[in-house]
Amino acid sequence: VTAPQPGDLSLEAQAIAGRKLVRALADRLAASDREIVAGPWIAEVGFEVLYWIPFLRWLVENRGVEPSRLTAVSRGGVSSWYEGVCGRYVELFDAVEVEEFHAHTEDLWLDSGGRKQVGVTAWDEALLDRALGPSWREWELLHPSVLRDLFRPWWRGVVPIGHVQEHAVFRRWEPPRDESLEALLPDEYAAVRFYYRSSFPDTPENRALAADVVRRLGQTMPVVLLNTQLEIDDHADFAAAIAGALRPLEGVSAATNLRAQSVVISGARVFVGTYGGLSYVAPLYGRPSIAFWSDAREWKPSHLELANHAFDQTGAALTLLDSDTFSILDAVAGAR
Amino acid sequence: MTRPARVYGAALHTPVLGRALNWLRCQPSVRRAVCRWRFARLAPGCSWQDLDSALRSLRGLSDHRVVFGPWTGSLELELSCWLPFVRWAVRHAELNRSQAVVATRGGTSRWYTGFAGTVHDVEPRDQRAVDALAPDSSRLDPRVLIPLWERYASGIDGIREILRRSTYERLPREAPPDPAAPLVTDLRFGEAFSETAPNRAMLERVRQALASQSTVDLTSTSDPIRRAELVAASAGIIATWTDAACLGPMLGVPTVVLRGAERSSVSEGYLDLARRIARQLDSAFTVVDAERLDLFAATFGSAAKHASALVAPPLEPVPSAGGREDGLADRTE
Repeated sequence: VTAPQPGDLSLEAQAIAGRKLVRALADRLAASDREIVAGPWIAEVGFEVLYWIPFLRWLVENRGVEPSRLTAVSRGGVSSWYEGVCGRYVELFDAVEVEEFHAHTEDLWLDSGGRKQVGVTAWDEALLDRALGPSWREWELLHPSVLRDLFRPWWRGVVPIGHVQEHAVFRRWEPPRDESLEALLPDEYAAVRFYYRSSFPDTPENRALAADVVRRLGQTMPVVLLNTQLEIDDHADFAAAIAGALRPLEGVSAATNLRAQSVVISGARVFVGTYGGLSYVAPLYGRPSIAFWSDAREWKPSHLELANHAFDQTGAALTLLDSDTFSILDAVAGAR
Repeated sequence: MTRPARVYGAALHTPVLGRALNWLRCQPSVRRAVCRWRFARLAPGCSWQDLDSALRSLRGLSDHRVVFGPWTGSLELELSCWLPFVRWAVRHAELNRSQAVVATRGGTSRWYTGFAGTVHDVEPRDQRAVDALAPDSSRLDPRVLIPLWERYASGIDGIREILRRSTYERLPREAPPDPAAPLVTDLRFGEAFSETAPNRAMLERVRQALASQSTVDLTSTSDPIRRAELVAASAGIIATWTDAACLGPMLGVPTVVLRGAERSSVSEGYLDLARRIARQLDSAFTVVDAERLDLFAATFGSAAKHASALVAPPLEPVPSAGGREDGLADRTE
């Protein structure tokens, strides 16, 4: 006989069960003296910065878990995102090739029918074995699937935003430093990343909008494109063919690409681009973010609502623009 | 369970009395009386379940009418909460058109005629006129629902209970949107945009920015139908949090809502609801912090030309690196 899992219960009961399970887990982690592996994080940037890292910070700041016992396992060189939360960071792309990671992870999403980590899989264990060696099996495992149990009631509108705020701590991040990359950047610039996705599909209108935005940006300040030449996800980049745009991240390695993008974003006057995970990173560095979408049905309102609350605490805002309202805002702001 | 309810439950399980009670409670006149009793018991402070139960009691009573209204609150709340609720309730209770009677005020009857057989404009304070709309009917007073919506807006409840009891549809309009039409503005101080010096300065700046354009000022009329007509005939709306900010999505008109620096959980809650309504109706809707207009102007400069004049660059099939970067569009949760 096994105990009922949160997924077997009504949504209301899931909210109560998820909260109890997570609080019991937090108590156990705080009382234990074993090392804790937090990860492996293999899902999207947006969930990592909006839910996972604030949840880990809650464990540390509100539940007494020592950061020195936590080892974050993620990808893209994002150790700076975990500063103050995890005493150690281990890079997945130091242990596995990008192509293999991409292939296995996509298979996992196909099998699970979504892009969230909903349980500990054989692929997770293989990644941890290769990144940490077999010793992690003696540690406490804090797997990202805990987010699903805890926050699904919020995603489905069963509980108010206070439920998330009770289990997440949002703080402004310290900018990562990279002197060689910073030397390539102007004193003041806009960090830009447009790509096509379901909420901003590749249509003639969106191409024209992105081209207009990038061209106009280039007339007010230097533009630094965050585009790299790596292939990990299924997004198609918008190739901004504008004269003078800097592309300092071309050729960056998979193991450091998100770190490099973070360096650029954290030093930018503003981030402009497609609504997605990177548009959430900028406000976490206290930088304003202007993000575009064109198909409202393709994004989740609960994430945006949480982001608005979270970024009130970091002192910078995410302005999410429906592409069809851009011309109105243009007229109102007196930018013409 | 109350004592009468316990006695009634026990009686239902006795052979003779149970059969008699079952026969009695199936009689239409008894069922109608039960409906009236259930609706009469609804009062501010009741639960969603009480409301559901009252609506369920109407099923199968094809000759019993229900009066919804009259709505006496703000137009914002009428558009975003009351109207979608009534539309849902009529379908949920399986009412035919002739059973659904809606009492409105201020000429908004056309918003309800798509699903209600009878819509009357009444003076809300004239209780006799309201009572005379449908004698022997049940009546749902909107004041019953306001505390339930406020539980969401004030952060006590999640939004699901509202969404599952609302049916959102676009309002009827005479003609499709005209991109060449003027913008409409509805720039007023209110809960989400209070009358502070920075907000006054911001509105003045917006007015100046729009001075060279042909715009229609909605504050010139308070008639809801006239306001809806002006919005429907526009290319877009720029408004503070007013009914115009709700009319835009409901009429499929692109809408920009200016938000002040102050944050009230109530207005934030209703703004989030408006976002969700716009999303469901596939209407363009953007909420902008007024203080960000400077950033917007500084970022996009003064050399703006229409995007259509530009040649779109080719699409490179070169996805980017470092793990997926969206994660925010996953419809599985």
